[in-house]
Amino acid sequence: MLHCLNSNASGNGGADMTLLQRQRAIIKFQQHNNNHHQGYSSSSSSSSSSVSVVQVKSCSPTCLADHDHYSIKPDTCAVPWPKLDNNFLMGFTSSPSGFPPPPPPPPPPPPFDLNSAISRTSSCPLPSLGDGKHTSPLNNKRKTDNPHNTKDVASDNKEKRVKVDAHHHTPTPVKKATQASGDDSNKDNSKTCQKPDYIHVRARRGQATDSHSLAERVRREKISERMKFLQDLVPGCNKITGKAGMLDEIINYVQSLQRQVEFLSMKLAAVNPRLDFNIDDLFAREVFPACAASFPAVGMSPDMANPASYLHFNSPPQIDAGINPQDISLRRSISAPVSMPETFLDSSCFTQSLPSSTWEGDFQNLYSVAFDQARAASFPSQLFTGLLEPNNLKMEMEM
Amino acid sequence: MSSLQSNVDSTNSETLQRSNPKKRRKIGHTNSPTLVPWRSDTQQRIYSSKLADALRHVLRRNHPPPPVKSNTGREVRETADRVLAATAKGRTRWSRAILASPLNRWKLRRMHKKVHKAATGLGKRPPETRRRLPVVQKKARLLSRLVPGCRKLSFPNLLEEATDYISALEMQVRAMTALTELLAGGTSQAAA
Repeated sequence: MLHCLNSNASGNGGADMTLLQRQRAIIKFQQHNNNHHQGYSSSSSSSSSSVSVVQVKSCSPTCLADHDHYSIKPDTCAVPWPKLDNNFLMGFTSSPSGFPPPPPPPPPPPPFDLNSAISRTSSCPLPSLGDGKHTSPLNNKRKTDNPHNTKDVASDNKEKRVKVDAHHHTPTPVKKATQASGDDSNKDNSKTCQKPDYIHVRARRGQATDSHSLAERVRREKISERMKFLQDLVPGCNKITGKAGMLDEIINYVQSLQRQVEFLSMKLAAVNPRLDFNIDDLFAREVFPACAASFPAVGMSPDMANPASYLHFNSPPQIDAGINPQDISLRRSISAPVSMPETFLDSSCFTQSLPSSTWEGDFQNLYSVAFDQARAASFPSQLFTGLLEPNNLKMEMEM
Repeated sequence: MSSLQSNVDSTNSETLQRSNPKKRRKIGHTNSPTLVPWRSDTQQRIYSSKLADALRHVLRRNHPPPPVKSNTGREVRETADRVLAATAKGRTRWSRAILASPLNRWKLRRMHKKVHKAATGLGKRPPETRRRLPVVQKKARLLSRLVPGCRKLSFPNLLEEATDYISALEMQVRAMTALTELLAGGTSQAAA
């Protein structure tokens, strides 16, 4: 039996003395003592019973643990090794598997204790569950005390929670349920609710767990993420690494874009006065009341648009006398349809996507004749290739 | 100016009404993909339509005009910026800043800058050594000056605003180029 115990103990292979090993060592010692001290009749009987129990259940180490425990209890009074036993028992009995805590030495067991021990073997809880339960009170403790003892937690393991962390691997629900869906990384700003939510951060392995360094790391990662976006946006930034160089590029790019806008605006201002705007004024005066009457709301159906456009289409010939027909067609194409959208735009500026598409379709039908000339104008697409579809914009202008 | 102002004021009031509840919300910036997708064609179309219309106003106003004054270019530019900000629907800081300060903001700012510089030049310089800001912070300040309305913004938020502003500017350039080409092509056709 000693040999089997030895084999069992060595069979675990753990470097640490597990509870089982310790208990088996105790049993060994006890049996050793019992073998030596045959004077204790009760202990001898219990020892024999315990030995028999050991022999019976030697195959299952898990149940062995329980039996060890039960068998240890009667022996604690006899064996001059109480301190260790008590410690083990205390440690082991913190798991709620039904072991009564034995601080005082228990009375010598009656023989039916063995029966109870045997009866418990059938439904012995696995020590794994015990371990799980063993750790869960600690976890609960961690969670409850988390706002207070962050440092203690950090000292235990390398992970640190700034606030309660939702990614803890326990089935217990997170207390602070306001954890937003920052599932990619804990460091995302999850501020979906109106009140400022806390940033849940976890330090990685091998990194400092100081709160300051954590916060700084979060900040740095935010910045680097945005710099990556900008790198994709600004052309020619792939080779440049480092914030200073990137910022230089960004600044240059923004300045160049702004200069381009200014240049184009000058160009537009220069180009536009060529068109004759007298007719536009007349259109405006004539068209606006008509528009206001017929277009009460934004969501105009295209049917309503058609008769009004016909109106516009018909009105120009009466007005222009002595002006080039080509000019008329162009002006019609540009100014007339635009005056209708004016009313739309005045009423609301933000729901344009739908109506614009309908306009384009209709106006294309209406002004197809006049537009042939405009379309014939070639599109020098030198500056931007592939970024826009000239046809769409043509329709846009011809609206 | 009245018609344009009415047009812009309507947009202003709407954007401000919309942006105020957004301002009260904490600046938990939505990530850039969820902001206005400046690259899409629809956005460009929307912008172009609004721009064309707004330009109508401006140029109509300016047409019978004093050719002596060369304000048209600046007004066109400001109109274009305002239309761009309106297209942004007031979700971003720079767009709100553009819409909120319509009246010749560039000119005023330049004037203020000149005044400020003159004032500081007259004042005596403190004898202490000048604090050398880290290079990155200097550049961040430059950038914040470039992007409208982003002066007192933290660095990561500034970067986000800059991202959106850059894509918006790109779209603006695209749209205006196409517009000028169309108009130039149209006028050349008409003249011919």
